[in-house]
Amino acid sequence: MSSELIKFGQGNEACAEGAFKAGARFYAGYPITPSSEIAEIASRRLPQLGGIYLQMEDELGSMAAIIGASASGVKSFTATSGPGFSLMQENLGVAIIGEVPCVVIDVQRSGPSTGLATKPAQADIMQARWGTHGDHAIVVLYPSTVQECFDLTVEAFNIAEMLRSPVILLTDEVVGHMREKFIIRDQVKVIDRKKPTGPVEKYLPYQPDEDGIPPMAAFGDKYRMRITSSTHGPDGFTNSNPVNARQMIERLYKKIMDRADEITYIKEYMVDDADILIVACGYTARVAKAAVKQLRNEGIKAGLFHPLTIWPFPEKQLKKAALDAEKILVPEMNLGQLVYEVERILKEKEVFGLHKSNGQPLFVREIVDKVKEVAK
Amino acid sequence: MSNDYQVIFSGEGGQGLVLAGTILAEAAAIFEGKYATQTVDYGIASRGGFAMSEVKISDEEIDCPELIEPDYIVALTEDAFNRFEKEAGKSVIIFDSDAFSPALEGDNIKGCPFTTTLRRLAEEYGNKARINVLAIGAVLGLKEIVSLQAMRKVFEKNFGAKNADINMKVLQAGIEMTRS
Amino acid sequence: MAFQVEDYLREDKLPHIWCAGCGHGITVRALVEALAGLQIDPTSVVVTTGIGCFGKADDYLNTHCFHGTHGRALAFATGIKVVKPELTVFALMGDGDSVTIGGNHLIHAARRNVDITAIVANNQNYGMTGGQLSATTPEGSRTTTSVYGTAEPEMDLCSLVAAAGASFVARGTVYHVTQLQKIIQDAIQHKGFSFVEVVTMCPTYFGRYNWNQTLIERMNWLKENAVSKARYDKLPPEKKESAFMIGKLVEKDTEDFNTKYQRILQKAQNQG
Repeated sequence: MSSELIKFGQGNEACAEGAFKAGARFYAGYPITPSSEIAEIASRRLPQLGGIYLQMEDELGSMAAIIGASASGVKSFTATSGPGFSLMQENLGVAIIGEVPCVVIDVQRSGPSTGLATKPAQADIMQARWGTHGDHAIVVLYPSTVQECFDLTVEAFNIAEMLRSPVILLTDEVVGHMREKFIIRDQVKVIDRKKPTGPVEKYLPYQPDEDGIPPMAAFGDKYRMRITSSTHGPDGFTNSNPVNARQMIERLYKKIMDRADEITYIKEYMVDDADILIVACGYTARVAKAAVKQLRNEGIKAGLFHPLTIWPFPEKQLKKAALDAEKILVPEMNLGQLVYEVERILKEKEVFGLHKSNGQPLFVREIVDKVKEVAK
Repeated sequence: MSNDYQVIFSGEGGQGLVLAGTILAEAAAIFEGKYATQTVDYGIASRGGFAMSEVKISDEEIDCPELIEPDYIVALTEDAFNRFEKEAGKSVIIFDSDAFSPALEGDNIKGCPFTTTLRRLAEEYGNKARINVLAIGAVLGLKEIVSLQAMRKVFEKNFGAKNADINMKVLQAGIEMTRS
Repeated sequence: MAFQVEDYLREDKLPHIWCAGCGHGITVRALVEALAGLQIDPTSVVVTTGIGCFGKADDYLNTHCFHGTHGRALAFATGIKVVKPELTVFALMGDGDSVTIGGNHLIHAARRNVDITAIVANNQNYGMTGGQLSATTPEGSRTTTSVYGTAEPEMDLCSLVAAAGASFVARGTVYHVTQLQKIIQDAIQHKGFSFVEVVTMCPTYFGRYNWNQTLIERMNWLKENAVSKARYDKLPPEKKESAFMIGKLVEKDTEDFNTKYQRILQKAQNQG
């Protein structure tokens, strides 16, 4: 490994570098703390790579511009935080129903609303899942280290391209701003969207192959491309037939849910003999790992289940990890979001939450104390 | 755990404390091949207000960047000092004795003339002499947790060869403030 | 000629859904005539639309199409054009799309000067959804959400866009069809953001609540009140109340965004 590929930098920087490595050549965004470093890096690096950086008038426009660029065949992304993420929800829906691959990075900060702009939170876990209206499935990846910021951003693009769907890369202020050593990997697996191959006049932009995913032409190709935000038939024209509507909505849902295993990434630490299993993601997973070590030193059998793919939530994997655990603890930087999903999956277990929503991350001792309290 | 170090640089926005932490951690991570993390806590403005930067250096992979009982705390403002007063006894606290006089005293509370030293250095090097580098020096004067060779390399990488010389001199002045 | 008017149309989707007396069909006709006149390959054309009656226009066009959310057509178009400068990109919007919900995108598109042709069919109300109030509804007019007449003054689209820095601003009507087609051709050929307001009519809602005129009378009203800038300037003040200018209102040579961005790419790559 040549030394210039090893960097000491922020999670935000690693996200940006991961995007470039995955082939992203267009960024449109509106600066917002604590995500602005991604915009700053994109504005410097994309022109060097022959790509384009655009600062839009707001997050509605940012999301729209990346969808337009991606539909024109250029891998595109944006980055934001809670208030901007809320504005992006409108056109995130366009990317879902229009099946336009793109990556949206949300560096979570403390809310609601303006809240504490520079302080961390994990309070967009449900916004990432359900923020845009209407029935839909969505893929959300959540790194916990600077290296994972790089690796999972590459993966986010690959999943987006593979599924013809937007992918959300969720981070938090701590992960986004922390600095660590990371490697800008030279060789990464890069997936590109499937292109149409048949006769031009027979191309239908939303006619899926057997895998449920339609090949995607780009604007300017000889294939006439139609992207629409309306419920449509395979030809991309509005269609209000209930049979068609059901088929379209279900296909969009199933193309993601049926591949949940393929896109699921988890990390486990000492789960095999754990009496109490901690389920945590993002920065909190790192605090939880330190807590597990300390608890083990004190003779308490704790373990950590750490999903990197949080939506679709790794249901099967969690059930397996929690098989022998008596109790489950879900620490998170919010008043309770992930805990409800864990409760739903592990109905027969005793599930406890540890919730902190004051602009501070959870501390190791807080998780240690809570484990001891619930272990009694 | 003997080779694990935890350092806090604290004061107010604009003093370059984020950079102090970054430089120290980068020197360890890139130029000494160790593991290092740096995290920040700051307010909404680029200037003023409490700001701090936390550094963890280890021979092993770091599970969590959170500092548990930091070894060294540099507090450049009274507000910062007061926040960490309760750590006295566990951590060595280095403060700017030109800026304020804390009521608390003890072996582990070390006053250093940051402001006057910086003024003296500024006469020679102008605004290239920065309080954040002086702060790193003050920590290294107590314990060379990162080698001076690694510090020179990190200065060269980030500020260029010419400025690295000046920064090494500022660093040395910081080391002299605390070296007994 | 290589491309005929029919090459730009989805004739299988006709007849269109617009009401009798609506000017949208006339506007789409002017657009396809303009494209045929310029012999632009339909596969190098992208039409973006939003929500509203005129947002249905893409259904009848045999080009690449992007039918998106209400008010965002220009933002989608911006992303398309900056990465594919070789394409001819349109944003077809109504007054609701362009300036009522999408006003922020409109003024920034005018400022940014990306080479997009925006065509706004201004029918003074929200026709698709039942005739509600728009930002271009004249003060005092009745709509289904201003049943006592609106207290809000209307927005002058062309003045707004000109003030925001647009390098090509023109207004036409669905009565002055030959002129409209020429304006659209010039707008396409203009390098930079081009804005065309088409004053049209909605007999079904706005007309029914406000005109007190037949369709023929309203066409005559358009004919009489839409005047060139030279004629408008000479009108006595009382005539200026209902009259409005048509023709090219702003046309200046500017470098478009993509041309300028080429220099940024050069600079970045020389330094990088």
